[in-house]
Amino acid sequence: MTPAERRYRRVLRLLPTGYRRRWEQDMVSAYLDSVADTPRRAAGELLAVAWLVLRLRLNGYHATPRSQLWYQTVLGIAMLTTLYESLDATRVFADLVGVAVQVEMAWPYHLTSWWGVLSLVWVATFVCVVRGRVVAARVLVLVALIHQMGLTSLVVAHTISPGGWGLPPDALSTARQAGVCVAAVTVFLIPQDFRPARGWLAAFIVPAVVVIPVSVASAVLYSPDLVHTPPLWLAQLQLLNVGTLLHVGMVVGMVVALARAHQWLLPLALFGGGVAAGQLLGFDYGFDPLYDLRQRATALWTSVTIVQLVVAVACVVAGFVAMRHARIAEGRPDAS
Amino acid sequence: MTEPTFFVLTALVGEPRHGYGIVGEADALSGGRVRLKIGSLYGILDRLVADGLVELDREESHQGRLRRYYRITSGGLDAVRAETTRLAANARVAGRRLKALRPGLES
Repeated sequence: MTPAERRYRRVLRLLPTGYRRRWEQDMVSAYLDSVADTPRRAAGELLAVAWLVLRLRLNGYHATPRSQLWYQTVLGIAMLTTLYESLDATRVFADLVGVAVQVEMAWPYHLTSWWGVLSLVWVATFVCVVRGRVVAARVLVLVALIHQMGLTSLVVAHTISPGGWGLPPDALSTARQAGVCVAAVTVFLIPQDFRPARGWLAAFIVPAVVVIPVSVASAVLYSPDLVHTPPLWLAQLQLLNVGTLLHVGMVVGMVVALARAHQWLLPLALFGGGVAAGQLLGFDYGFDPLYDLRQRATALWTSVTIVQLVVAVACVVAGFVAMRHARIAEGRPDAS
Repeated sequence: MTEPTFFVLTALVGEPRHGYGIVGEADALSGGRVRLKIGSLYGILDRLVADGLVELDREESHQGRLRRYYRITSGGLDAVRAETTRLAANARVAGRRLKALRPGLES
């Protein structure tokens, strides 16, 4: 046995047993023919097997019901995270446009405005995923990942520089980085024949129609002297943000999933739990250090935080229900 | 039907082939655009066999190794015909549009 054959057979051991028994001899024979013709194919061939292993383990004829559930969960999380990122990017862009209007500055008024425009690559990524352009989505999500890293570097550099903001990176921004990484990884796990329902485009367009005018109006109506005493109307207006719409969407999604489509419970639970945990860790609404102490504990923000907690608990419950359904699907209802 | 699947089936029209033979034929038929990795080929073959579009033809020994040849089934031929009709209809529509746009370029 040649070293190439030994190496290839070692990778093939990762295949599901039934598949390996059926195809291993064929694959080794074809592989040895292939590398005899073009030796440089070896690395690409090993990667192709690794990709095949992933697909078969998660979504092939040889996958267990539980593996298939996790694969559907990964696809669901890919849809939800790219939707969230594209809506947030739209919000960032609308904020920047609103600030430009408010301070009457020519566009682009600052380096960050270009970064804001670049964040729209998330919208393109989401549209590509919805339209089944998986390869384009993978390229775009890499651009989005690089963009996010660049943005983080800018923020960190400004934070630690003399005269900078002087604020340490908080749990919220750490959770944000984690969210972007999760979105990127899950997009890479989408198979090329993945074709989601067209209704996903509406899931972006409808909230975007709310978020864009609210973000522009918030930025236009905001003035620097409101930093320490933000009025209640501004807080109320900002309630119609991506986070609020996300929580409303999560609750509606979980109710629908409970009634009709149980396979969506687990992705909704994991995604919603992750977002809620990130926001609660950062006290996104309830404890913003830039706001005056009197404003921190307003009934409005407290109630928003309570809603977030309720959604987080609902996510945990939904996760348990989803896992119970998975056990029933495997014919082991008493597996706990 | 994805493009690699289409060329795998088309490569088997007319004569049974073994794995690497299918890779070479798909490469030639597509003008070098579809260069299948072995892992990708057997992912496709596994599905095609499970769907009854391809089946085992025979086994041969080659340089001490087993070689299995696969042939297309009548269901597989129907699938290729249906896909060919669909692609041809697409090409006709696009051709008509292009002809209307720049009549001088069309014969």
